[in-house]
Amino acid sequence: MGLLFQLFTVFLLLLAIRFAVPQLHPLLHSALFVFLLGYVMIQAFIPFLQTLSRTFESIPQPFGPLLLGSAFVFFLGESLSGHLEESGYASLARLSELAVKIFILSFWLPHLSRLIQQLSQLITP
Amino acid sequence: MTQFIHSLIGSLVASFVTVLLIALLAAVVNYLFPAFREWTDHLLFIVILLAVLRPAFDQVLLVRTMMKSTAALFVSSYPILTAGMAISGNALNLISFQPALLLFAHGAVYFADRLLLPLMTAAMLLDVITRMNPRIPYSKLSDMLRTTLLAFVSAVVAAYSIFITAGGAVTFGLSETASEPLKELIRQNIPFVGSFVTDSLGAIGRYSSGAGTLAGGWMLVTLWGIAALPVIQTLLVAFLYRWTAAIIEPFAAEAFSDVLDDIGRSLFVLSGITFLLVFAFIYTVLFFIAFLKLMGS
Repeated sequence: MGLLFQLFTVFLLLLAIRFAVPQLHPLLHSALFVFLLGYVMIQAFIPFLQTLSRTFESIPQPFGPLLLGSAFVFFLGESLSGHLEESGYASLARLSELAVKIFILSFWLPHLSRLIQQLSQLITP
Repeated sequence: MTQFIHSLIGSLVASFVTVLLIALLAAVVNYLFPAFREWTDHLLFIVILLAVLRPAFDQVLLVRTMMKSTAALFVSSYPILTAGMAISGNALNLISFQPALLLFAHGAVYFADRLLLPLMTAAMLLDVITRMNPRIPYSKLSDMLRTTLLAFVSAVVAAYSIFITAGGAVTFGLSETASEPLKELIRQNIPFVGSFVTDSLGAIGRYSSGAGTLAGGWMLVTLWGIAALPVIQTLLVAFLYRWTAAIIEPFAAEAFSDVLDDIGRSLFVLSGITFLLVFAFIYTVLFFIAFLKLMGS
């Protein structure tokens, strides 16, 4: 709950900056965003995901953490690319989205190849 | 009894519990990251195919190996059997053996190996493809394949029964009054293959009780047990798939419960196909036993 108030304070701070020094606003906005993102991750998000993966420990080993991890990375990439898009760099945002997708898929590729092996085993006489 | 079932499907139950857990985890992830929903569904498909469809695939591979070895057994034993028939005509009288039935059993196994099993695998893969990409559905085709296969299997089983009742002066050892309600119970509670089960059990029983005097009752029981094990195992696996589909339906995506259900139905067909194999196997082995006894005496 404290996090919500901190976020609101940052929002007020940004409003004040926008009023006082409009030229510096984009730079400070980005800096604050990255700082806040890291803070939220370390304070709330990562511990929560760890608890969650411990709760679902009995799922066969790579899959539970893998699913949670890829969802986490996806969220991270999406929030960053959303920020980039907000600042007016939509092309950069699209590139970062692509990078994150490739990153996630590279984790899943070994399992996918195992699956393909299994299916082709059925087909070969 | 429970230990027996556990040894058959113990590792399976564990993998089905994991499906439940994975579906729960996916629900949580979908709630946390709504934008990730599409990914979750697709990634979950990989997990489910890897962790859960493994038993089904293993079962198909096992049945295929058995088909191959049984077909090899037939091909290698056929000359010996024909020679035996030529030498001692007694065997024919003793267990009311019909050469046509042996030929028929061969043909059934050959068909199952070359046609039925590949079609069953195709139906299974088509189901998976349909659920993975619902925009290009093959569900009618796979349903059609399953229905055709079931029709073929039931026709073959009916033909077996006709062959055996036509040639058999032998009767089922168990009294009819005791066995009829049991048969009815099995028939009603096991979908699709239940009637095949009772029909072919009755057929095998009618047939082999004549051979019981030669081979010994316990020998026959053992033989049936060994031969029927793959069928029972396939049936149990199929039931587990359908149960899991029923259990996860409320909180998993519809595609997952559907794919498990379809795989379960395909496995019922597989157990029907396995029956043809089992019947041919028992018939051949019984003939071998009778033949050896006659040659020995």
